[in-house]
Amino acid sequence: MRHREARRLANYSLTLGLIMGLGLVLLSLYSVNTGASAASTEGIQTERRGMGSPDAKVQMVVYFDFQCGHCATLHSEVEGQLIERYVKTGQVHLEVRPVGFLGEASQRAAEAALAAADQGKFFEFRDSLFRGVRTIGPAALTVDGLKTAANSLGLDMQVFESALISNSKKPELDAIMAEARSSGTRYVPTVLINGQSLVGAQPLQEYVRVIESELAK
Amino acid sequence: MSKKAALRKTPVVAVRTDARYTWAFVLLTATGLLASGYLSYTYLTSSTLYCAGIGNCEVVHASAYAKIFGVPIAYAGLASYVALAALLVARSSLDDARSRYLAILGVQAVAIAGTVFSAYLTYVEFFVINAICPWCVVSAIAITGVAIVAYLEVRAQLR
Repeated sequence: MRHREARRLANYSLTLGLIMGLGLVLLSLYSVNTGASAASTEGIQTERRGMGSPDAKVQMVVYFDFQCGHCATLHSEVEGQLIERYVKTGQVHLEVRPVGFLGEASQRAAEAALAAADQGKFFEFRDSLFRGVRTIGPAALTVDGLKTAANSLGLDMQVFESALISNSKKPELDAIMAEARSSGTRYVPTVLINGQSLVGAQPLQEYVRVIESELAK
Repeated sequence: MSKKAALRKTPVVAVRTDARYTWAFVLLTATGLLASGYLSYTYLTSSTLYCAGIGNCEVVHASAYAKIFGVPIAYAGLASYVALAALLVARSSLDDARSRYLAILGVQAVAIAGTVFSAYLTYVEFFVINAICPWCVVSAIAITGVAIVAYLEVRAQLR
């Protein structure tokens, strides 16, 4: 191979590498800004921490912790699709239970979510915190991060902040955690489908398989 | 002088593979394969990432930056190290000098792309999500090392 051709090819290789690298960066930025999130609760019957028909044949309970990575994965990649497919059609009732297994920040965030539930914004607040954790990390779960999320959802800040300062939601959180332990739940996320436990963020098909088998009974 | 005549006078590149570069490539690619392989394994099995008390792997794992359109970037990292390994085998085993040289250039292109992307991800870890994943840092150092060695080898061929 001639020297000049070799030099030309070397320059092409450098340029190609740079273009591919920058292309990946752009793809990543685009993906982050258009990322998947849980389905909206619009048009679904919701209660305090539940959604769908309470009389549905399949009762699904999700235990999660705001600091748990796989919980965020389950929320963004699986939950939304299950809501669209089963909750909106009245086949599944979903109840979401926050726990504070992973430390102080988890407990604070869970109590804040319960305080948001008092104002009928549990699911919106949960979506907002998970989105925050995915984009700015632990800062989303600091007191300031929680207040920012609450404020952006239009919550009554006086009531919300008072609940955070007085720890008035701690008894409810403790009760949820005690219930989790008594049902054998030690890890997050854990999904109970008519009492059948699925631990970890499983592929969507796994939840579909269990729900379908319960619906067929 | 015509273009053809000028080209005939240009020196010919011999394309020799140096054992020192080979060992550096093997060491760095093996390190990258291990780190990206482990990261991919945790995504495949939904298992917890072992962080050895350094950084906050769970936050990085859950971050929106850890995936592109739902595909974990750990898989892309693993695929790029597998591609590098294949190109390095080609670099050392092909008979044709031109093909060997093209394999080195392939290594350079893949490693530079990986370095640019790793630099962006490391910036995100430090300044956007404020959480470090040591496995990602190891992979970033390995790919940068491969890019530097590949660049030096290409320059050495052109001397």
